[in-house]
Amino acid sequence: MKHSLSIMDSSGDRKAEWDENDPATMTEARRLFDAIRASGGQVFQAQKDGIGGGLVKEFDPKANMIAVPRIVGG
Amino acid sequence: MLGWSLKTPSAKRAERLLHANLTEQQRADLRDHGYFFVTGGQSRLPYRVGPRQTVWLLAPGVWTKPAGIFCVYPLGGLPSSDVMLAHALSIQHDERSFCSVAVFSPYSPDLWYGLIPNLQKSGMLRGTTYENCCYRRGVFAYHGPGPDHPI
Repeated sequence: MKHSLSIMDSSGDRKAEWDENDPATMTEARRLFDAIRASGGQVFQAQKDGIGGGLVKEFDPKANMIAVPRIVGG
Repeated sequence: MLGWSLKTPSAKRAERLLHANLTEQQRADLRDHGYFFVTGGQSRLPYRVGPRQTVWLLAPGVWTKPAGIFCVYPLGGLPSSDVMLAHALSIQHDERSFCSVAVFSPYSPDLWYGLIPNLQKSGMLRGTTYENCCYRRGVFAYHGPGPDHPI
């Protein structure tokens, strides 16, 4: 089954997709997930017709997720 | 009627992502008014998320005037809809972090005072921007409690 990580950027968002049964695609998605977290970004579980399903601190291969870059006051 | 739109492809993409993650009520509010409401995950207080980097903290039942205004934005030059979704997700699921990085300005002293007990109860007053702003930074001016206030 396919899952995705939507990463917000200046183009709107880019999607990293993976298949639970395909370790290669999952590794790349995990790498992106870790990079976002390391840069101070946050990842939330996406949820259809609702505002997300919570903060995700560790890569969840069975979830659809949305990554938000680091937020700052301004 | 002109059949074109000024929306860039990036704005359209961001809008699709935002709409996919809103409730029906929020989508209707966004369509009709240009903003929508979310509830703080910790304080359970209502917030109004609009198209720019400011977010209103509301007093329950008072929808037309903010008790305070948060100024905060995600890095990366995101389209407006992405910024709104980022605000909404953070407020709902990580309100404490949201409040600790945002620049907060109480707007209506009468409403703001009424919220202090709620914020105290949910542990949101200590160690957040509410406290930083009100009692340490002194970036706003109204006749509110000073550094010696008991809370």
